[in-house]
Amino acid sequence: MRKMNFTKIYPYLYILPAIVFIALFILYPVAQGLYLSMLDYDPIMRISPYVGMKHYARVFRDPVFLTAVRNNFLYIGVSLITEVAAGLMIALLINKVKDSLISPSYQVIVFTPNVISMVAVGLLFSTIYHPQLGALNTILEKVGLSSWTRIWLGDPVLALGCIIVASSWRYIGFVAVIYFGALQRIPKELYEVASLDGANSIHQFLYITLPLLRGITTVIVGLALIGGFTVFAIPYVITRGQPYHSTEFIVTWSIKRAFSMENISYGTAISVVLLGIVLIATALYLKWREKEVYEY
Amino acid sequence: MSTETVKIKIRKNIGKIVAHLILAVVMIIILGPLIWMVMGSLKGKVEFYTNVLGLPKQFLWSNYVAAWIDAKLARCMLNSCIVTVSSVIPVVMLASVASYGFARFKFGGNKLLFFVVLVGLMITPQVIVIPLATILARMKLINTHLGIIFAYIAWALPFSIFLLRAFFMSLPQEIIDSAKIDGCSEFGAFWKIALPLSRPGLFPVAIFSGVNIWNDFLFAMIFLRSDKLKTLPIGLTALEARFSSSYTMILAGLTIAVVPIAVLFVIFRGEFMKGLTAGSLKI
Amino acid sequence: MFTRQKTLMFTLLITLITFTVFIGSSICTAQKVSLSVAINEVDVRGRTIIDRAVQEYEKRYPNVDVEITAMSNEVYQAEGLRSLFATGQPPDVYMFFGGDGQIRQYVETGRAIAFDQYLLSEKNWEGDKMWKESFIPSALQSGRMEVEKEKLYEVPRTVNISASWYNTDVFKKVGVAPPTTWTEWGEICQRIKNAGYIPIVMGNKGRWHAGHWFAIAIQRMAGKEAYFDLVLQRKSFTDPDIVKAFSLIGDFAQRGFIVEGVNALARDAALPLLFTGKAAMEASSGSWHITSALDYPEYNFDFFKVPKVEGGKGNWRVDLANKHGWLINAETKHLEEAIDFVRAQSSFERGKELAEIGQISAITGTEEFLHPLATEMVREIFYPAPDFIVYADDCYEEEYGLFIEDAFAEVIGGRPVEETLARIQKRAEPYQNLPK
Repeated sequence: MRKMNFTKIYPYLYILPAIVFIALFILYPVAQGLYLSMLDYDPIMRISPYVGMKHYARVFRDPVFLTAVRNNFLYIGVSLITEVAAGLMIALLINKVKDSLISPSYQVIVFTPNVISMVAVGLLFSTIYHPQLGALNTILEKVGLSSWTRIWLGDPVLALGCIIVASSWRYIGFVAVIYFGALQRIPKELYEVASLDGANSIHQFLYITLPLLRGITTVIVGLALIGGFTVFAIPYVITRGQPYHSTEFIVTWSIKRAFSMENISYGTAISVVLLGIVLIATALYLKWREKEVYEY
Repeated sequence: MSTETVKIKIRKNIGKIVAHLILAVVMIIILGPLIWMVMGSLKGKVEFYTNVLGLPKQFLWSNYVAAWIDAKLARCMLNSCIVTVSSVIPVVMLASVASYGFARFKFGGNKLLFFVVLVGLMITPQVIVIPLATILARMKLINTHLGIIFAYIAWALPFSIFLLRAFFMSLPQEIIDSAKIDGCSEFGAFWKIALPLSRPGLFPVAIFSGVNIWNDFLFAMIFLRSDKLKTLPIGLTALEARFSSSYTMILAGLTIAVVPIAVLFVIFRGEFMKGLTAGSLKI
Repeated sequence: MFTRQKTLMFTLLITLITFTVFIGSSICTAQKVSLSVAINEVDVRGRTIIDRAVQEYEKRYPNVDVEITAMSNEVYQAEGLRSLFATGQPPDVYMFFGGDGQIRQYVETGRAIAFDQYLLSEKNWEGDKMWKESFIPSALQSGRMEVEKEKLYEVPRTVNISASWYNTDVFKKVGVAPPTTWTEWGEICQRIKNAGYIPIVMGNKGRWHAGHWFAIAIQRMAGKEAYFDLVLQRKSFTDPDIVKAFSLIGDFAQRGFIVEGVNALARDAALPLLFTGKAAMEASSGSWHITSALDYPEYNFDFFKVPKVEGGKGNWRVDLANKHGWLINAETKHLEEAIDFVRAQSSFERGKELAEIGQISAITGTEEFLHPLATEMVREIFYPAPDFIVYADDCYEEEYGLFIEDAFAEVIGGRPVEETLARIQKRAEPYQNLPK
């Protein structure tokens, strides 16, 4: 009898410790956060009256929140090109020369930005974008392109672009390295057979490489999706939401409301809404890529 | 050699040369800010603003010394090491056990619980930081290394489980079965056969988690308060004075913070890459 | 080897350990008393002074262990201090950045003790006079609740006075002198601009710097009452005096006198333009400008009092000042130790050291060690002032502050004044208590 029961619960023992950690330190806080968002919590005034959905109603009418959502979507859209597509390209290039001596250096260099903290990246690029004393404008002036100098972080559109550039710089290595790993797994024979059949590189790319990368692309795009919604440190450090809240992102706005503006409940409500958005977006995305998900 | 083969050969090499050229440009763009960071860290305060692009007139290594001492970076670095290592090891252990469980056993709620794990991936740290702080305070773990280590472990688990599960799923059942036939217990099959086979995968897990923990700012700021326990990212904020930030020192501090990990990565690059390649990181 | 039993035990053990800790029994008793102190001083020079006081304190009271939590001021003011209270381990002693409006909240919720009785009953750190007498009397004036309680809740550490700062070399090269009226100010800005320099630098990325300038502009044009009314939600943004006040700065912005990208630059990033001689003035800044400037030996500077406004209703002699000091949490379990700690921090030696790094110390007897410009500021601006106003961000309430900051940011950024204020007024109206 005992043996039978044990067999049933045995698998659970493997996952138990991890689940306990996740439940205690991630899920339980989320639940608490959910509860918190339905109060008007003020730690200083020590009051926490229940207000139900008041904050949520406000969130959807909040013009800055809507701008932030727009920015997050823009960010995701553009980063799909500048991070995912570009990362893939770099991976292909490194793959092409992977037997050369310099290949490991390429891999190290391209991944190094990923090792730097986001705050550091933000600080670094803030100084580069400085309108009068920054490297970018100085370079432009030196090469005679003074007319191209701008107040990079002062213009709503440009500032957004600058943030994306900084962020892509950091993540492109991550994508490239993962794609590179995946490329190694494609059997060489497939290419050899294809070229014997007369297929040129472009054909090989389109009909062998791409399809075989589908699975991992699903994952990378999924991560980019989640990451794009939860981006925080880089925009916060580079622009703080300026100018005029045009570069706010959902998380930066949530943090501002929660802390700087001392309305923890409202800020938490925003982040709960974000969680909802992410869950829905991910669910939809997974459904769309159902085939790949089940393949593994 | 027919002309056809020769043509293909030339084509192949041109491809490589072009690839190298493009990559060279890419590398310059990527290295650019990094080189600028290091150069900036060696310049004088005023020179940083007047001599923006050039090499430093003098290599002011004193900036590094100043950053090291003023921000008490020695202590911070020690703390970062302690916290990171103490988090990564349990993460690797717990994640491998859990991933194996998810991958190789059929049990009720397998998919559901795995989805729960995935949800952990989607949660931004900012959402949970205050409630988590309250929980840790109740456990009397606030402002202790142990507390933040627990938080880091929980935070790093979802992605690690995600990665490792794919590894374990790719193991052919026959290997496990033959191990059991040879007299291994179930756990023995895991410990002696499956785990070593997945060793390559442990490297990416360790590096990804380790990098994120080393660089984390939010948890460290809220969960660790006293000076003696601070980690590197928080220590670096000491270089940002309200009245006059010295960017040269900040850059020096940032470089100091990056070097250990960069070095580690260079050393373990091979294993890291192999890990990403091996098994089915089809994920 | 790894029998099923052992596996079971192993996993259960791990889970059990986690659970036990979670249910929460930490039986860690400290032999020593632990005093937790929160500070917002990370500048090395200021921090060293605090550390020295801590050393002296721990020497005299070896059974106390001081734990310091230090955060940069931006973090501290924004979320740092609050998060300490919010996460259930509030500090025993904490620094404050001045501003009665903010202190009020902490006082009213029982988180600050009144010092009056201790000032009279305790001696100072050196033991040679009563604690109260070791302070400059005027420094003990602010930090009092103006409204109900009239008691001192903040022991002063430094006093801060605002003025406009300028690079004397640039002024000399252009051939201008400090202005005495706002119109003159505009004129010299034009000449500076024509000579190829940036007239005024401000760094409003953090959304507080512009407020310092607007505070004084509003006070000069519309009067002190009007300023507080605006900030405390009692006045409309479209009130004619307010619009005129905003236009003082808006005018400068539109004529190109303010550095481009003012809202994208943090003060730290903007100031080097001044320090390296590319810009001429910082429109309004506290006396901590001196501390920043001491880092750049080549920078020669001076100050002038923010000029008169022709037709302004405000008293020109009134100016911006605030205090930086210590509060003790009324809920502390170590009141005596906390008081002794604050006494240690307000010793004469520490005051002297603060003066030497360019601050204005609140301790008597340190006047001779002040930076010459600090002494001048005290003499010219501080003593003659019948009254003071405080920085806007020390007064306004959270949500409403959003509108005020937006107004400041947009006008200093060059957007048309009337249109901007009208737009913001519309959004702010539901939150205002305008007199009928």
